[in-house]
Amino acid sequence: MSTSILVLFSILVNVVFFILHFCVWRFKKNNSPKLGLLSLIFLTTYVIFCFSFFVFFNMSIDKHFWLTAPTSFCIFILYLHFYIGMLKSVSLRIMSEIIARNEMNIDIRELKKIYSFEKMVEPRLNLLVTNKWLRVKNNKYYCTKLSKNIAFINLLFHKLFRLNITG
Amino acid sequence: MYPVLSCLALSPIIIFYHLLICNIIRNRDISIKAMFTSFLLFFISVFVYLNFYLDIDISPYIFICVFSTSISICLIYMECFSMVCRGFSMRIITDIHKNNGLRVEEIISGYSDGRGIEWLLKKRIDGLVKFGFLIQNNNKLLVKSLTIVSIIKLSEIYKDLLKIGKGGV
Repeated sequence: MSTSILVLFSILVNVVFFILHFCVWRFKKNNSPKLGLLSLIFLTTYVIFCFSFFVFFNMSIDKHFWLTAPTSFCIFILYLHFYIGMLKSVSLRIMSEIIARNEMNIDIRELKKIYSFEKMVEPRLNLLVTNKWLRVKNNKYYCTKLSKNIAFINLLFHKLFRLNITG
Repeated sequence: MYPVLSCLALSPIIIFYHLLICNIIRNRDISIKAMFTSFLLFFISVFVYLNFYLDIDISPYIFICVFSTSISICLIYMECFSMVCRGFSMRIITDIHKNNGLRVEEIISGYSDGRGIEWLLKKRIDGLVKFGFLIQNNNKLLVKSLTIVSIIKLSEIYKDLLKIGKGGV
């Protein structure tokens, strides 16, 4: 089987993955990335494609697993980067807010209202508490055991990579 | 199988290269450029290892296997490093850990070692102005580039199609 057919297979896997991703996302509330679900859709698509190629075209994709799997996964990861960027990018949101105005300009004070505590920080704190990264006691937020370890590792990386300003 | 597994086995070398460059050059603004340099060194290391040590002929088949695996590893590393450098939740957790607990007002005013949430917004705006995506005129921010406007409008269509909201939070 030629290399180009196998690369095409990987591209097709991701095209079908995107179609399924689009269909599922149209019916769900999507204010969080849902990376687990995305990965499940991708894996399922890959397996179904391998099986279909074997049944309908009598092609054993499993023999070329070490090409199709990394290539499919690479395209998936590229898309994931794009998707998370769209979902989380503050810079993109700032520019969207500006373009939404008639004259395509915005006062910085108006932007600060969009990025106020209520709209930015509070939802994030609530999410961290829900996911047990933080706990609340007497109106104070504390780290859980898990987040303490993560914070420790994060501070270690700051020292090792000489990152003085982060966030 | 061996090229892909070799690639995976050699992946920790990215951290080594990255640390080496950051600590040799000792410039706090160099971390991102150092990361991309370490990716390049990683690619070279993998191909040198395969060609000279394992004596594997780099056919197009092998090249695509190794290249895809390498790119995936680099993208995962980039995402992890981005979380360490710019992660909002990560920074909040780190601030709370350093201060053994914080109230809401303290989280906002003390974000990123006392710089505050407003500093975060200012940093993003300064970055966008520096790269020419925005123009700052006193207290107003403008977008003038039609290319940027088109890209943003396309991103909004994408977000609407997937119903992921406005994003950025």
